[in-house]
Amino acid sequence: MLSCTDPRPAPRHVVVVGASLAGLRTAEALRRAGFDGALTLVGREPHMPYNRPPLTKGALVAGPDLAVLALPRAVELDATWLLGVSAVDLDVVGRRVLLDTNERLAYDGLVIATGAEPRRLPSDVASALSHHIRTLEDASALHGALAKAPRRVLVIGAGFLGSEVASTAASLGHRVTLVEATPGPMSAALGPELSAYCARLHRSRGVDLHTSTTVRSLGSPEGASGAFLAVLAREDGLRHSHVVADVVVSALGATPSTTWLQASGLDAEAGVATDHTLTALDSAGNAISGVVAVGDVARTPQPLLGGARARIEHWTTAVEHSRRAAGTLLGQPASAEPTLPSFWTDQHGVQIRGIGLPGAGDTTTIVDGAMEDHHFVATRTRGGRLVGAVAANNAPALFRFRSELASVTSATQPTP
Amino acid sequence: MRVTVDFDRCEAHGLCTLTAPEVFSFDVRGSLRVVEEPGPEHRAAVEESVRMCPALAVQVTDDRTRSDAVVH
Repeated sequence: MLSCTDPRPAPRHVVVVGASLAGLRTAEALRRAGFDGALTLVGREPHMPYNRPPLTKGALVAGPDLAVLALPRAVELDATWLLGVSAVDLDVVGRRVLLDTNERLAYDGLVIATGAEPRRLPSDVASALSHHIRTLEDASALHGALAKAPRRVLVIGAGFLGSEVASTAASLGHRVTLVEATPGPMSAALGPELSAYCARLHRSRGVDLHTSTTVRSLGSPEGASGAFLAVLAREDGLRHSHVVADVVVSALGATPSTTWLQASGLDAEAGVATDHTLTALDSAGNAISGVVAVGDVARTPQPLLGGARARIEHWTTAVEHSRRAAGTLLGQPASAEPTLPSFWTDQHGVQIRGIGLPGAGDTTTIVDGAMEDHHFVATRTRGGRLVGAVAANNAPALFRFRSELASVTSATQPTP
Repeated sequence: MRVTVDFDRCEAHGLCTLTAPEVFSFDVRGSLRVVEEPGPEHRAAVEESVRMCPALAVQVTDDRTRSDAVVH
């Protein structure tokens, strides 16, 4: 090595694969940081970038409208947009992306922002006929199904999306059954006590919630009714029950969209592994200079997890990544403290907001308000150390936990 | 620089109060307070708030002419 500083010149052509929130915001951050080379965005969907969180909430009630959902632009991008186009392969040595149009895009800076896609039900038939939610078209189809007279709706999976869909469907007057394999809704993200609160909330609004339960089989629509028959099995194997549903929504979480990277040599098994600058790593753990990963697809070191890598599928994480990744590509690594993970979900009229990684805690403490009033603040600690805080209908109260959580994230940042 | 919050869109995520606490804050009742014409030293933080707002409710305009107070 001639020098310990990166001798790479500034890139002249940055290709962004993935044209949703993370890709768009990274492109913007590049321009804001002064990048004046060519910029190409490749997006699998035919639309300009839009905001996904409303797809399980208001947009599901009113019907998704691209004009409302479009992500506003902070800066003039002066970019080439290749929409309705997918990347199918990556050559990191030759620095080229192969597209499904057979075109090869040469780059000297690459942003991997392909996001994640819904995990499908195992059965082909059920998978084809059930709904899931990721795209505008998905939300549009489910909106259509829910716009009809009160129906029996089965939601499989009570993570954030499934819980929100169940809440929205119940608010529209549908009879909702919600099935969750773990002991409670969003239990991995919130821990048992807050999950139990969400379970009570669902049940108080008429949602028939089955926890520690899986769908053993899901029959295809039969006869004129076109209804599904689902057989539910409790984890203990002791009880079986069945549910008849007109509409089935699978919300089994998402898997990172990395099929196109299988032959690339990148460590992309469970999301693209990165270092703390968001530079992608190959399967031997070497950083691939000029290649960064952002948003849902990126598996990044987490200070709140002691530096272990994890994918964080939060909206705010995608935005935070964008600035850091742009700085890395331009040889201006971010010096600012990393933004805390932050998330929200709206269910049955309760605004739940969180910061940090509450799921990493082992103890829940209500520090303000009361769960029965639907107005409270809870902390989550691990070994006595704060790792996250969650507020119901009291977002302003989270402010006071910020500095303590931020001190953890900055204190454990590895030095470059 | 003029900062506006579309309160029809605002969902009280409060991320702006984290990224630009000198410009955005919650009062004791939990209502969002906004310094509508912050000094130029706050520009970077305010622009970050625009990008970080999940409800897409924060906007910045560069209208140099001082607009009169709008009466609702």
